[in-house]
Amino acid sequence: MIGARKLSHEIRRLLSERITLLFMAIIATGAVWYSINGSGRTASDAFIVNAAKNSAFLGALLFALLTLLQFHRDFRHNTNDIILTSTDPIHHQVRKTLALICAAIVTSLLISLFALPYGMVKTGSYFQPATFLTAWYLIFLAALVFAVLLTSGFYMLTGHWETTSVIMAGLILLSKLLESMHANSEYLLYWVQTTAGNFSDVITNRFQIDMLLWNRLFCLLVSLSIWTLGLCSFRRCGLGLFSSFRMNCSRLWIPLFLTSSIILSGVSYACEPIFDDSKPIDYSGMIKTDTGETVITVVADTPEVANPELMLTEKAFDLDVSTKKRTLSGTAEYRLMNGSGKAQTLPVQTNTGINIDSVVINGIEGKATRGETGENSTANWRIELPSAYEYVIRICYSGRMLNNNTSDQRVTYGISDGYIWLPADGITPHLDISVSDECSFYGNLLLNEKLEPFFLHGNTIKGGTRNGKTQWQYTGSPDAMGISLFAAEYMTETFEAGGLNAELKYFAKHESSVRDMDAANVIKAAIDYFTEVYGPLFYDKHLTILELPAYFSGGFAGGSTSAVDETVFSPKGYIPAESPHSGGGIDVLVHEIAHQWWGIATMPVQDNTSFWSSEGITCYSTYCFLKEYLGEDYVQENYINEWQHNWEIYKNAFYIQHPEYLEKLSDKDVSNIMGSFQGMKLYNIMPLMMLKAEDALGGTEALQKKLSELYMSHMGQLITYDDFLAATGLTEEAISLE
Amino acid sequence: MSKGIVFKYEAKRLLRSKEYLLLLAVTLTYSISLLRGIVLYGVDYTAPFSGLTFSAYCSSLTPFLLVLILVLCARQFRTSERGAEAIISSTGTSFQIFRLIRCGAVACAFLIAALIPLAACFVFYGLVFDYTEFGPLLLTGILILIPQAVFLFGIAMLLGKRKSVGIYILLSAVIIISIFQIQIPGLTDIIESTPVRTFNGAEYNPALSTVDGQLTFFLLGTSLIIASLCQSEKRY
Repeated sequence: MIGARKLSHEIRRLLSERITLLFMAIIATGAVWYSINGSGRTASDAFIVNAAKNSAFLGALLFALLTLLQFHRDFRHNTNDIILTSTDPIHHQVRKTLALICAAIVTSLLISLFALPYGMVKTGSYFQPATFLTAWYLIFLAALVFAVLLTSGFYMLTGHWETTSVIMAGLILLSKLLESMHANSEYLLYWVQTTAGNFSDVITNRFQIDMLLWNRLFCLLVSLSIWTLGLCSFRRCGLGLFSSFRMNCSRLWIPLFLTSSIILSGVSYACEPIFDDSKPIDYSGMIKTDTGETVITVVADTPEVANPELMLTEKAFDLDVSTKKRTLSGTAEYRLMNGSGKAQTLPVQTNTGINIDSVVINGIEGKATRGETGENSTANWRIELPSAYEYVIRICYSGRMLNNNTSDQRVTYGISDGYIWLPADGITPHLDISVSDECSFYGNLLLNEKLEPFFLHGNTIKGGTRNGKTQWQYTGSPDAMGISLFAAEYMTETFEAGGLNAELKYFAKHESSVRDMDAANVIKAAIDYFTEVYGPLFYDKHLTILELPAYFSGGFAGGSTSAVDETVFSPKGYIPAESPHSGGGIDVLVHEIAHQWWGIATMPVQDNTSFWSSEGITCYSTYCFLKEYLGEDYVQENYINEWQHNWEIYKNAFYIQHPEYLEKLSDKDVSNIMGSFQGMKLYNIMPLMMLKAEDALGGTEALQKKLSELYMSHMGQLITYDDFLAATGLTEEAISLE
Repeated sequence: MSKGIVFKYEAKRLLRSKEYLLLLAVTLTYSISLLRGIVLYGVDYTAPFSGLTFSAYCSSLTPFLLVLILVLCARQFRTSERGAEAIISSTGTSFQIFRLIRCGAVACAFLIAALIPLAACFVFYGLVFDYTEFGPLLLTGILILIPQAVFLFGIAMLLGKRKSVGIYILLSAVIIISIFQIQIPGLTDIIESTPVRTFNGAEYNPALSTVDGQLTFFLLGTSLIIASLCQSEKRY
């Protein structure tokens, strides 16, 4: 009781000091300014998350200073000895720290008085309380608390306010500078602002919140370790560091607390539960687009399988997804043919978070052994098969999705109560063997009632209810084995376009936006245009446009689906964009639709000698449609000028003009440098070359006619640059920009 | 005691101080990450040893070096240092000379801290790209790093004589501008906050394009330092 009274007195004293009030007022003013002048890709980012992230820097800086002033005050006023002899020194430091944390809480509450109604008004129906709490309490308040703990810890440890201020300034700067460093930085190290971003307006942000929670747990444990170390090292009257340490540690709870917080910090770092130990991806096959999205270029060759002697003839699965526990469990049954009849090793791949619980081979229990982790969150397993010509293998598996730690530490896959994204090897274990053309692929999926599943390929029929969940029956072709599963509360709009049954699947919360921007008509116009210009998409009767969460940043095309992130459907002018050339909207939508012709139905294949790829021809196709749909001025400003500007940059680039310098660099650096030109080559230079081809052939229509012939004659096949030149009758020199 | 010995003693104290070593270590670590990042790739697709890339490298280091010089200045006005000054003023050594020696020691410590990352960059150029034409780059580096530092040093000396808390306010301002990347317009851009870039494809060297401004900073800073040295001393 006495302790509580003393603490309450300390809090009152601190909150009545003018300097505390001044700092609180400055932070609150900063928070208001950042909220009003926010920008971002989504409303949640622009009006809530980014404001909290920026305010966290201001808050951390001023609370570090305030902590320093409070802790140094007694020393500065020469009242240190008097106070420390009249009160318990350890309790005194604890009280001061707690009082400062209370001041941080009061500051956050004060800011909430403005930020909450402001966020609610600006984001309107997209307001999510979880996003607000995450931004202002998990990011902002936590940054203030860490600043207090770290500053007080370092001050007690060093005994010098100058050293402490330099350390704290360095730590705050480090958190900021991590953003601009080229190397991939651990998300756990961003202790002030975190790596929060691309928060969705329309679905749950559970995946990002998971990351933030772990980041905050790790930072809290580290801050507590430093603070407790400071408490142990706090100088007692006239004693040096070691004597003070011994004296302070005579209270058993202090060394115990210190040891446990240090151990827990290490454990929280080592047992980080979101990312895995994937091997680094070979970036030479990846490119960055102008809009910042990362895409993988078309793979030229059919991928080789690890054991071609085995052939899969049937695959069935029974999958139960628990959104409550955020895990999945399932059983997959495979029928295999073994041409040689000899004993074989069955290579199996799963997501790194999936465990194979049991294996039954032809009715006899077998064993799965986990090997090395491969690229892109793939866990490699091995099952030894006895001699036989046919096998029926039953694999039981369960687990929780893990994500690739090597690219930019972005959570893509996972299970939450409002959204699910499972990779192919997260739905069922993938057998790395040959697949028969007649292989049947089907299964049952048990899912939360409010979620609707969507497979990139195949048919899904809603069945009955089992264990309080909806059962979905899935049937797919062998092509569908490498596809992902998405599930959310979708709305579906179906319409006819280009002779196909097209459907637009968007998040239920986006209904009014999608209607307002007349998205279905834009999609219909694009599909009709490409069908008329190039020819029909007769490889599939269905075409789906799928909405993805904002964190995906961009879009992709796969199977009979073109997917784009939610920012495409944001009403124009609603969100203050971070950059006027940030792309998005109709451009991305049309681009991903055009990929159905160039990239899916035909496969323009990239080589290492020309700028040819599916991206160039898709960009050109997007340009052609938008020229008709939005007019010459729009494409001149947003396409031609941009392409020409990037061509100028490319041809003047140092490493392009002086490739001899690349020989002096490591393979990784060369790969990264050349990778930085990939976007320009594929998205800017190749489309410019297509414009030159237009001129050479006598106009847009003439080139499109040739492209149509190329498309029709290469349906389902690869298209090389030579094929393109042969089809158009042009030479490399004729369309060269040099 | 000879002035040389006092200078050596003061310089040694600064160079061995925790704050100096800590900041130097942070600056060097950051400079190495810059060399592996923006320098190796080249700013705006220019050469790693172009004026633009080197300017960007120096500009990125500026906040650290400015923080360093302000921290060194702040050391001069600590209560304990002021106490020592009171004793020194009672000796035969002229107080202005003593202040000058201390300023010299701070300048020397700063120059060492500034030259180490520049030298690291030149070694990097030599080893990786066989590039050895350091003359123009050195001029760029000096133009970016020195005038602003001299200017801030002058202000800090003047402020420190009156109220040492002024230096910490200045320090906070530099940190805030750096962290929040607040862009300061034109000639007043003392911490090189404006991003380095190319204009219409032509290389632009911010340091060389604002020589007038840099010279003004340098002269103003020098005047402020002289003024602070000449000012009559406050008695304790």
